[in-house]
Amino acid sequence: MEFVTNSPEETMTLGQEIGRLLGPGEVVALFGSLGSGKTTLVKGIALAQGVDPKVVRSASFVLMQEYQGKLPIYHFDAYRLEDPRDMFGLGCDEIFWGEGISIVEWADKVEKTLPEEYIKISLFIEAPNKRRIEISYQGERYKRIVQGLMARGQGLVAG
Amino acid sequence: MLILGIETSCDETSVAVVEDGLCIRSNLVSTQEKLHLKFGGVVPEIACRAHLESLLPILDEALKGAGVTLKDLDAIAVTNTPGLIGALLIGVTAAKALAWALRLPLIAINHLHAHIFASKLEYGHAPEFPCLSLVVSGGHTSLFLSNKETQHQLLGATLDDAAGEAFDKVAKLLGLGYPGGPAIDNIAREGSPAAILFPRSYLEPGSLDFSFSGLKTAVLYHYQELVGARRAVPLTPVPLTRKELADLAASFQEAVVDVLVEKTLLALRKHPVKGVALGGGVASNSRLRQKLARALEERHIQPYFPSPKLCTDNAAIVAGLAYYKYLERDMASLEVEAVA
Repeated sequence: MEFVTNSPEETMTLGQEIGRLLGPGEVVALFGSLGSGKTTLVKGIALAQGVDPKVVRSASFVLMQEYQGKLPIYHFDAYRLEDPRDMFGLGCDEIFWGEGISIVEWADKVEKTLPEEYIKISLFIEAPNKRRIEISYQGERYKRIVQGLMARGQGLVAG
Repeated sequence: MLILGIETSCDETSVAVVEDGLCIRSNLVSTQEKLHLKFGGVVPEIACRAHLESLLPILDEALKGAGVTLKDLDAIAVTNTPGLIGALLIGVTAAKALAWALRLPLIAINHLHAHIFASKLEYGHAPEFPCLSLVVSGGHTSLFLSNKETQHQLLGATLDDAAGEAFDKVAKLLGLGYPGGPAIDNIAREGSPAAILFPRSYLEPGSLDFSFSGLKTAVLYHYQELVGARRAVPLTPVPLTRKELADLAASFQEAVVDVLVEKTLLALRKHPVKGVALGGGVASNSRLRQKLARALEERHIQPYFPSPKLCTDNAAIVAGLAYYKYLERDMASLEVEAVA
């Protein structure tokens, strides 16, 4: 399914909708170029889990950040990684199978180390403030998230 | 009193010996820049392995440089937060082992507070407290109200990208290489800072937080437009000319610097202190130093800008600050942990 957002605020709202539907041990993989709104979407997901979006910052420098929400949130950023195996150095294998929500920015760089099942979100820059956001899933357990978004989709952003 | 400092929070392995907080007996830094160069950034596995490999040789060199042996030391200090967790762990583990084996007090240091201490180490006496402290680096953009060497109240910080990160990302986009700060600083000298008016994000009125994500995106749009326009004209080489790159770099840098200076001035209006201390890798940026110094001088506020060697990650600022924590008897236990 696809959404179009017309401002960072709308991207964050979409993130909140997604964040409300996520459960323990679930993985979100974000694909999208520089400036496409990945971190903004993470802020929304975190907000839905009760985390102040102000503490959610780009993780490019530190590679992984943890936030304590209703569920713990693990925010990975593979921007600087060249070898997908570096994700193991960040403890991804334990974290993906743990009780928190894992979000991976620049997932295209580390696709091989993602679990078999995850929710896939691709962000595209359409115009300066306009983003097209595609959401799909690998694995049946994530079907309910897309269905949940569809159910709320009418009241959400156009798309 | 001799304190050994260890710093491994990111990609520099550094060990220093500092006497009584201010006299640097040795300060050795082994940078992993070359290792990370081909990756355009810090790679955690590489960073940890390199720290592990270089720490002991650097420790030996630092002791030798200071003309001391392990037996002469009075305390061990180490950066335990914030940074890359795997990288911090190497330094923290080494420091704990040394403190335990030598039966010496262990002092845990916050990396950002160490950056602020660089001014004191540079000038010997300064800064006069309270002062404002601006730490700008690859991982941080934070404004503090500093009451003394060991006490800093956070006034504002970046909500998205750190200033240094914006430099790195824009440099990568423009093909200027890593680390991005010096690369942009250099080429910007040939360009016009007024060539392109990039947005300055000040957030809501009165906010002392920072945001550089939108600026990064604005540079991306501008770059894509330039490249797109060139592609549309046959026979025009697609790479930008040096002048175009220089203008882009200078205009981007100007936007970052303007925000850093404005926010510092805003903080000064809220907290009228007499001095401003700068720290962190981006504190070496020539345009930032120039514009901030000018703005502060006009207001009769003392700038404390450490030399570039003390702005970047190094262990002398760790060992120096540790002396003041030692005087306050603020020691860490051997259970102290590295915290990302």
